[in-house]
Amino acid sequence: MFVAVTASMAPEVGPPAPVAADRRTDVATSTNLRMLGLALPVGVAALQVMPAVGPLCPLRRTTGVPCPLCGATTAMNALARGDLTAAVAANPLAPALLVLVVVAWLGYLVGSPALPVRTKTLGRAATVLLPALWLYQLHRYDLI
Amino acid sequence: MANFGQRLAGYLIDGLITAAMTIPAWIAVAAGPRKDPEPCTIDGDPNFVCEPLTSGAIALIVILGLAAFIGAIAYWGIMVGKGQTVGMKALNIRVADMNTGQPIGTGRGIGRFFAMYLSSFLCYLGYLWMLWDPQSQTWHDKIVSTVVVDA
Repeated sequence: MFVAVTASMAPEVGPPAPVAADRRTDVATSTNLRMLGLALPVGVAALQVMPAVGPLCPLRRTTGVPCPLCGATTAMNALARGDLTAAVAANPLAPALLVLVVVAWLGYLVGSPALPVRTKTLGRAATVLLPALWLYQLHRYDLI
Repeated sequence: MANFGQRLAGYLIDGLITAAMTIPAWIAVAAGPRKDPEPCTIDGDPNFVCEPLTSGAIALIVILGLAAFIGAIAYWGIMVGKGQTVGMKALNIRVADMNTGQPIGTGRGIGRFFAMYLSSFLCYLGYLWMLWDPQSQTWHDKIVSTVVVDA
């Protein structure tokens, strides 16, 4: 009887546990990132053997104005060479995305398929960081 | 939800099919009747000789090019509207209204096709957006309120 009374009077501590739907989303995000991780080496390899096609970005090809993701190819090539400084200078978020991909795979391989970073957080981070990244690219191309 | 790998693989298949629709136009460029050779300037260098296409040949190329574009609109609009393109069938995924789960019909399918251009414009950011979207939606999914799910 004492146990029952104490348990019902125990205050809730800590943040509420993630809802099942959120966890499913975090698993889905991890899956998406893992698939990107499979596609990236194929893309990078294809770029090495393809003849020079010029910029891949439709915006930059038509107007010369870079978009937030410009420099990602340069960054990936720099990472493949092991040049982290050049990679971050070309596109600061490319190495971060790569880290997320690695984390997603590691989690999956140890039996923790949900991404440890909440999808909601990633979405908010993307909404804030991508415009900032765009300004950086405009600066990198000497437009501002 | 269909994952990034399934959607990318399906899209590559569909891309090959719609690219194949442009083959007649390319054949017309290669085989189209041309006028007699005449001196011409390429990239500012005047030491070239060209065989320009006849205006009839150019008209044919434009018509075949337009036909390919209309074919792509029909391919994406009708098949997505019914739920699956060839690529999506191969990967066992389908396009559904995000609220009802039902196919979206040709009109919205065509709208989604044009919205794909918006998704691609900033280095395909609209496509990559699905990586961190709570419902794995691309921008063109959000514009027409669709999700891509396992079939």
